[in-house]
Amino acid sequence: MLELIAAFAPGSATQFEIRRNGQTRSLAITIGKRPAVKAK
Amino acid sequence: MRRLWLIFAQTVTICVAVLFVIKTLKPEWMASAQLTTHALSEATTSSATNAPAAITEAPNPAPGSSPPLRSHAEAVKRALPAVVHIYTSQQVRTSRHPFANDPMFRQFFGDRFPEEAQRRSGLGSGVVVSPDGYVLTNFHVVEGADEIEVAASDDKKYKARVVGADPESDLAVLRIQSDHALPVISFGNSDALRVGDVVLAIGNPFGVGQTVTSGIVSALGRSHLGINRFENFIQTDAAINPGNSGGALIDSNGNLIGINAAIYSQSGGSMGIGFAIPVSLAKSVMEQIVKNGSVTRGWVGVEVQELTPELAESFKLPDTRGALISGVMRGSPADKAGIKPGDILLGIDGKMLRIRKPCWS
Repeated sequence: MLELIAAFAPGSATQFEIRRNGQTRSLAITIGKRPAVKAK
Repeated sequence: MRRLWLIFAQTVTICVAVLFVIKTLKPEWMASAQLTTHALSEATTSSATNAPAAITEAPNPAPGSSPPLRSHAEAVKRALPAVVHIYTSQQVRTSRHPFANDPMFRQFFGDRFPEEAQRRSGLGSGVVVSPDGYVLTNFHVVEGADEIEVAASDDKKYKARVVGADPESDLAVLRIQSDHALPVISFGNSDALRVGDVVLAIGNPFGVGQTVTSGIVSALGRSHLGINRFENFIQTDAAINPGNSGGALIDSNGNLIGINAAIYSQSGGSMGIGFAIPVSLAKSVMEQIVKNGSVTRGWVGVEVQELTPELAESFKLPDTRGALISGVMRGSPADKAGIKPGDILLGIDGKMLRIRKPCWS
């Protein structure tokens, strides 16, 4: 599973530009804190 | 005619007989003759050897003039004192029985064989990044270590403690306590690197001592190698060997541009394919570790897929810009914002997305 994990600090607001059904729109996303991962 | 031939044959026979007698009775007479011949040939050879060789000596540089262009001595001089050797030890419990690790053997006999404690030692390199004793290295150098010792350029050994580590980028920050300011490395700009730039690797390969090797940037943004979760490696042909891990990759000005982390090798030694973590990533991880003791990463909760021409055609897209969102995790920030599978992610905060070269991790 390829995950996108933002370099942005958790809590920061970002604008995601997406294309859906041929139309481009902008969505505001507040970056969350990544769930803990098991160390290798 | 016959008479002449007889005279010739008798003369030759007499000469051979005389030579045979001399060779048998007075061999030194023959030796002196041979020596004379040999001495001549030797004289000929020595006269040829003694001829002055045509060599060209470089002119002595004037005092204060710049060093030769092809030498990296100045860059090494700047960076070398900040590269340290790291020695780790760890207690492990192993069984003395030779078949103790054999699954079949264990199935029959279980774990009845006693284990004994042994100390396993490790070796690596590190880079002093601040005068108050912070050392940047690889996580795998100090992973599981009970004791860590750092040998600095002042020929002293210091006990080190792990400030924090980030296994996902294979970086760790150590701290040593010194009564004087330690020489530190200056950070370069790994984002400005180009393929073909000269780089130097400094470390302690195989524990032989401080070693500098040179090469070029072979490739940038190497990923999908299965080494770390977050991969954006600088690939170099500068020789990197076991013991170089955590050491410095510097540019031709002596600035740190990467932390040597891994090699591709079938023999265990350098094959000219080494990987270093770019200093831009190392710096951000280090700052978080020093500040918080760990690394906290942002998360939006989407799966993405590269937008191939075939996918673009099936989605009836005009081009392959962006990335296909193939999954959204329930309850994630992306889900709450209304992103759905099948959306094409074009950019973030006005920056166009390039999935091959991560702008995320």
